[in-house]
Order: sequence, then C-alpha cells, then structure tokens
Amino acid sequence: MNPVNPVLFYGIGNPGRRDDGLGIAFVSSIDSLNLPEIDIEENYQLNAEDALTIKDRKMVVFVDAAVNINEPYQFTLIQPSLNIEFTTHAMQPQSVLALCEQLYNSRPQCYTLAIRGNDWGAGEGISEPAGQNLRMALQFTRKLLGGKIPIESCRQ
Amino acid sequence: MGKKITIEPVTRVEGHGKVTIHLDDANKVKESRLHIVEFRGFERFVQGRPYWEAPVLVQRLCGICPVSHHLAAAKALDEIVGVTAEGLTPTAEKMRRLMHYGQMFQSHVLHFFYLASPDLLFGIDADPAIRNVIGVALHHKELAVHGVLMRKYGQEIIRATAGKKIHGTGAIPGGVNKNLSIEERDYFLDGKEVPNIDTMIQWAQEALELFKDYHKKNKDFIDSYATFPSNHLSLVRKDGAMDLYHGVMRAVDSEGKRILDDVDYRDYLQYIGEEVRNWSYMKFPYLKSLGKEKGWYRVGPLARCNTCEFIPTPLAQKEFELYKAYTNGKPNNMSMHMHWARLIEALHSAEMIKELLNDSDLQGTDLVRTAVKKDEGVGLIEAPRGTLFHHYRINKDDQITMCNLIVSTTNNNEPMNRAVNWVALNTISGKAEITEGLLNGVEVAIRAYDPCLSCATHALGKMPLEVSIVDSSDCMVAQATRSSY
Repeated sequence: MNPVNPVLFYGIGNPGRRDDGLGIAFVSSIDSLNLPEIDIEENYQLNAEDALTIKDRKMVVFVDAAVNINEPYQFTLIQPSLNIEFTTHAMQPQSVLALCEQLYNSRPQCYTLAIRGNDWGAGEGISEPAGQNLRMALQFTRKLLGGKIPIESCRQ
Repeated sequence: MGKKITIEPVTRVEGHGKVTIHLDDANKVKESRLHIVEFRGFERFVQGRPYWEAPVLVQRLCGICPVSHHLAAAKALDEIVGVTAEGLTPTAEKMRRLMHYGQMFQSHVLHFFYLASPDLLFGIDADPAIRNVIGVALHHKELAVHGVLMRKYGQEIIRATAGKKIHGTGAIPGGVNKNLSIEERDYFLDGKEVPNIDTMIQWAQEALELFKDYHKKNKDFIDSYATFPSNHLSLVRKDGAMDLYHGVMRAVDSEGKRILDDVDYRDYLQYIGEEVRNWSYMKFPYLKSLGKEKGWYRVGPLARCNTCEFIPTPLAQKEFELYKAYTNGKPNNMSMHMHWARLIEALHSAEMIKELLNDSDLQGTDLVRTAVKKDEGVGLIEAPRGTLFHHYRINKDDQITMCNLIVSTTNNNEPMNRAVNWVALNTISGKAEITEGLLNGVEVAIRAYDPCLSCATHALGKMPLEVSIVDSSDCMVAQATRSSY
C-alpha cells in the first residue's frame, strides 16, 4: 500500500439529498486548504473495507450530517463497538473502528464530527442554516489543526 | 385479541422498509406485507436538467448501487446521442464493462460476507450481538479479511474506471471520458499493493465452497425456506449467455417456458406494466402478456441463472453446471439459492475483470462516438440486485422532459412480499411468542433479495429499528426500538 498521512478526514453522505451532503462539503473544504499530513476520503456511507482505510492512521475524523443534535456541530471521541445493532449495507464509525481493531490490531484515535442539517429532500446544495453550521465546524477544525484546541480536551 | 407485528425499518436493507404481519386472536397470520417507502421524487428532480448531466445526477439516487444507475443512464443517453450500445468504441464498451463487473463483484461480496454469512455461520436465531460482521471478524477472521480486501478491490476498480468513488464521471453519452492507464492496470494485476485478480478469483471460489458446504449440511432449510414458483426476467446476450451489461430481454416461467423471447429492451413498455396498490408506495411490475395476477416476476442472480443458457467464463460455467444439475436443468425457484447464484456471479465477475484487465483495448484513445441525435432513449442493465430500467425523453433545448426508472428492488416487490408471506405462514403463524429469531427469519427471506431501497439519506440518528405489536383495534401492545447511534 502507498504510505498514508497520519490524519484522515472522512466525509460521509449523499450530496443529492441536500444537507445529507454536509460531510462531503466539509472534506472538500479541508481538501482545498492543501494541509500537510492530512488525507481526505469521501463516500456515500461507511463499509467494512474502511477498516483498511483507517488502520494506518493516527487520527480519523468521520464527518457526517446529523439530525438529532442541539449544537451546530458536535465533536466526539468514539470507542469501538462490538455490539452493532443496526445492520444495513452501511456501517457506523464505531463498528468500522471495532472491525479495524479485530482484523488489523490497530486502533487509531477516532472522532465523529456531526454537523446539524435541516433539509433532507432531493436536490443539490446545503441549506443556509446548515451552511452556517458547516462554517462553524470548519472554524473549529482549523483551530483544532492549529493546535489551539488540544484533541485531548475535546468532549467525549 | 388480534395483533399486528411491525418491523421498521427492516435491518440490513437500505432506506425505509417496514414489515407488517397481522395476527388474529389465535396468533394465526391473517395477512403480511412488506412496505417500502420508495423515493420517487428523483424522476421529477432531473426534469429540466441537461441530458448529459443525467449519468452523474442519477448516482445521487442511491449510495449502494450508484454505478448501476450511472451506466443505465449512460446507455439510455447513448441512444439520445444516436449511438447504440453496439456502436460504442471498443475502449468505451470495455471500460464500462470493467466498471460494471467491479461494481457487481464488490456488491455481491458485500452481501455475502457482511449480510448473509452471519446468518449462515451463526444461525438465523443466534444472538444478534454476534450475528453480524463484527461476529464474523471475531470468529472467522480470515473470512472477514478476505471480504474486506475483495470489497476494496471492487471499489478500486470503480475508482479507476469512474474517476472517483462518489459521483464518478467515467461513462458519458456516447462513450467514456477516460481509459485505463498501464499503471492503473498493473495495480490490479501485479499484486504489489493489493492482492491480484487471481487471488480474487481464488477467494470467490472459496466463498462458493463455503456456501455449498453449508448447503450440504442444511439442505432442508436452504431448499425449502421461502420457496415458491415464479417467472424470471433478465437481460441475456443474444446467444443466450449471461451478460450483465447488455443484451436482449428474456423471461421464463417457473418451468422454463419462454414468456419474453429475447426482445429488444427499448420496447419494454410493450411488455412490462406497473400496478399500483393502495397500501404501498412502490409499484408492482408485471409482464403484460400474463396480466397483473400471473405476470409478476423475479429479477437478480436467481433469475439470471434461470434465463441464461451458459456463463461465458470457464470457472463460473463449471459452477453453473453444478447449480443447474441440482434442479435437473429446470428453473430454480428456491429463494435461498439466490446466495448460491450470487456467488457464481461474483466468480464470473472476477473472471471478467481478469479478462478485461488483460485486454489492450482498455488503453485505447478512441473514447466517444456521436451520431444523429434523438429525443428518447432507453437503457437497461443487470444491476447486482436485478434488471434496472432507465428511460428519458428530451426537448429541443436538450433538457430532460421525462424520466422513468424501474429499479431492481421494485421489480422484486411482489416476490419479496411472497417471501415474507411464506415465512409468516410457515414459521410465525400460531406461535405464542414472537422471538428475535422468528423476526430475523422474516429478514433472512428479504435479505436473500438484497433489496436496496433507493434512498441513501442516512444522517446520524435517522435509522431506528422499531418493532411494534398492535392489537386488532390498532392499539400498541408492545414496542421495541433500537437506535443506530
């Protein structure tokens, strides 16, 4: 495998369903910054092969749209979950992390960055309220990457 | 007191599905239904858009099989730019085929390793905390590693041919916008960065052996579970070979008699009707010649192995012969044999990928053809879950004025309902207690069809699993909800 950068931002979502594309919009913005030591990845949803995608990273941030949070965004350290109760074609970040640990004995520091969305209908573009949330999440991330906010101090 | 059991949404399938089973006072099944909230807004969404945007736009329909929609739309738009599927350049056709077989391979692998194998390895009534992909990783690590690497291989084929994983642009009206470089080709052949295609073929064979071994030990279950006669429909190559990318439309009945005899799919409206039922958002397609009652049909791996006469790759053909011998050459109507057929197709797809990767046409530079434009086009493809129909009309300003899609899961609407009904009548009816294992048994039958419910919105917190029991007066008597997050 090609060497990978230690930090990965992984955007998840379907940009054809309005705010469901928040994760993809987020990583596109990060990608445009051309930051060193950072990779981005994007897909409609996570799946088992993503255990392979994250196994050689130090830090992974899964970025996705959220329905049921009160804040504009929520940054959360996640733990591997062996007990997966949902089972669609897609996997949750906790399950990908658990699979990574089981298959490759690797446990990168993983976070979810949930950005609150409003509009889930068919169509392109992020709604205005969600766009504001996206900008706030990006500002937070810039500080995070600049070391102004130590990762360890982030809420779990 | 009569009861209604509701499972919402169905686990391990996509989008919004709900099973409702009505019980009478003696816990006997009165009626069962699979409701699917089909997302139909998309057909309106593309109206007014320039036709050349469609192959990219339609990928937004579904996060599970975007490549199938991409290619079906491209095939329909080939017609609009005046190029038939047979008129593509060799490079264009083979690049599309490589993309398609990559998609087929990764999709079938996903289904078997992550959705089907937990049921087979641990039993359908096993603890759901173990009966999942993490359980497979814990107890069958090598199998899980193979599954991950096979999925990855198929995904990388898609990336190399479509340009990227999301909203790929590889197929365009009249051709493709890239070829496969030598470096890209060697990535898949030399085994340096990922296991090579020969390893993929070997692992596909091993997965088939796993299923066949399970079948030997569980014949009663595999042969009888949700089994019922049906018609079967798919594309086949003109000489009767399995062809997942292009061909003519063939339908056979449960005994193998031809209903549609290799007809041109562009005339599909002559042969296929769609019935609307007041209790379901999703339509019920049927063969017009047989009518609504008798004309419903199955699509997907089982149907394809029933309609085709042979598979044009040697290892898959050998397996196909064993498979056909099991039913003495007659159509196979056993729902759980869908897994067997799917794994044969996975092997066939891997063999096709190898054949294509070794074809120098992939490095050709003649990518696109155009001719006299038309105002209408139809594209069909065999998506992993079955036949997928795309139909467009455009106006003089090149805007789409009409879009009609019949997705694979819609084609399988009636068969899935029959499968649910079979399970309800044969395993649930009369039981005093409805256990997790019994409920999973309903899902096992649905999962055999690998339905993909055409809406990929999946934001955090949007996928609770709700199981409700409601009495005959629609009062909730029990409910369990598990959240995905």
